[in-house]
Amino acid sequence: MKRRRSDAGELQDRREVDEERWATLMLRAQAGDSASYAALLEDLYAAVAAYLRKNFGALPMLDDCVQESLIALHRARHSYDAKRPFRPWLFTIVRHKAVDFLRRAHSRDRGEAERRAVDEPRGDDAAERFELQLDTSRFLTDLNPAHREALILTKLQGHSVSEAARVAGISSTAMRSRVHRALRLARRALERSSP
Amino acid sequence: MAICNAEDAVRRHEIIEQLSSDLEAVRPLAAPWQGAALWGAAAWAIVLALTLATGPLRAGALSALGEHLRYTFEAFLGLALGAVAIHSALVLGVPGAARPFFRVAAVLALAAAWMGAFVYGLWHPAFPPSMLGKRAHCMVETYLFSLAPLLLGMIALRRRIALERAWAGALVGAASAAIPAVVMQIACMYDPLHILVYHFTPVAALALAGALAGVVALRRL
Repeated sequence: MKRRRSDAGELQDRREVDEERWATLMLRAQAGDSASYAALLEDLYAAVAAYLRKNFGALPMLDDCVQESLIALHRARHSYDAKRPFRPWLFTIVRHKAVDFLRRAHSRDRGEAERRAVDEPRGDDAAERFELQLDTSRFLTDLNPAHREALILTKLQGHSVSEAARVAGISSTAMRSRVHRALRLARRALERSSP
Repeated sequence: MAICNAEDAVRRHEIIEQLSSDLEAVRPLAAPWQGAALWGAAAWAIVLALTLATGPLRAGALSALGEHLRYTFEAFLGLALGAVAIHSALVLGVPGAARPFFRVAAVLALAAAWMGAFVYGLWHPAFPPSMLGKRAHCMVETYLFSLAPLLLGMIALRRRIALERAWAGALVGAASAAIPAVVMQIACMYDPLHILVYHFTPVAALALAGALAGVVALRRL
């Protein structure tokens, strides 16, 4: 119990240090200091990757998502207000980009899969690896099995909606609705999560 | 795995290098209350000028503000709606500064209170309704006078990062129409039913138009 309390205390201290450091670096970056900005981005790259990994699991696309998040932070850097805490500003933008990224990946996958004429068989190893990655993802494990299966089949294994529907033994409309619902639930879970 | 890590490190280095080299200084956003005050001053000046340019204020309207508390309260609710809506819209333009739900709920509560005051007035008006001061085209004027504040609000919001663009736009729309609606309470005839139909409807309509304008005109992150 004591150990757990001390871990929580360390985490809190660490957060406070990060908060102060990031806020200071961002203020200098707003004034045009490249070195401070590079240092800030180094820190944020790791923090954003950790946040996304915690919520999405160790998926290969997360690196792209981290990069998009950093570009978004760069575009929005003038909107950081030194009178407000840094972390809510940071993670609101990251969350927004992550959901946007998921949504775009979903529609892109759907379009590509529907254009695909030939079925490509997928190895069991790959499927198991994706399952394992999803198991490490906090919010995906919160989804019910049907929604989770819908996301695994369409988003991670790249099946088209009709292929996924066939695998799950349901209609394409039902599968499409499950994927939408799963994404919505994932978004809510993300919004609830406090970084 | 080592190759993968090396590739990741290179990509990481590249993106940081790309973003941080030739970094330009940026002007931080003004505090939302400052933006709201500036917008309010400009919007009120424009709406008052347009109202006076198109017709007189209702005779005795200003003295009625001092004499009838209910009437003053009705005008105050409209004023408060405009102020809270524009402030909320500008706060929503700062990522992580507020939860949109609470901001929108506060504005909706004020709008409901304002509308409720007139609905109550249908049976118990603040003072006897009359046609005195009636403007022939008050509804059209309310819509038209809202356009300049809407445009100014959208310009102010475009520099910000409104992640919930539709909500932010709707708030700017409601604030923009609230000002001419309050001015019409003083300039046009007093009758709660007339106010509900001709002055209050534009507030709801402009909120919808603002939501659409927000989605189209506000920048995506």
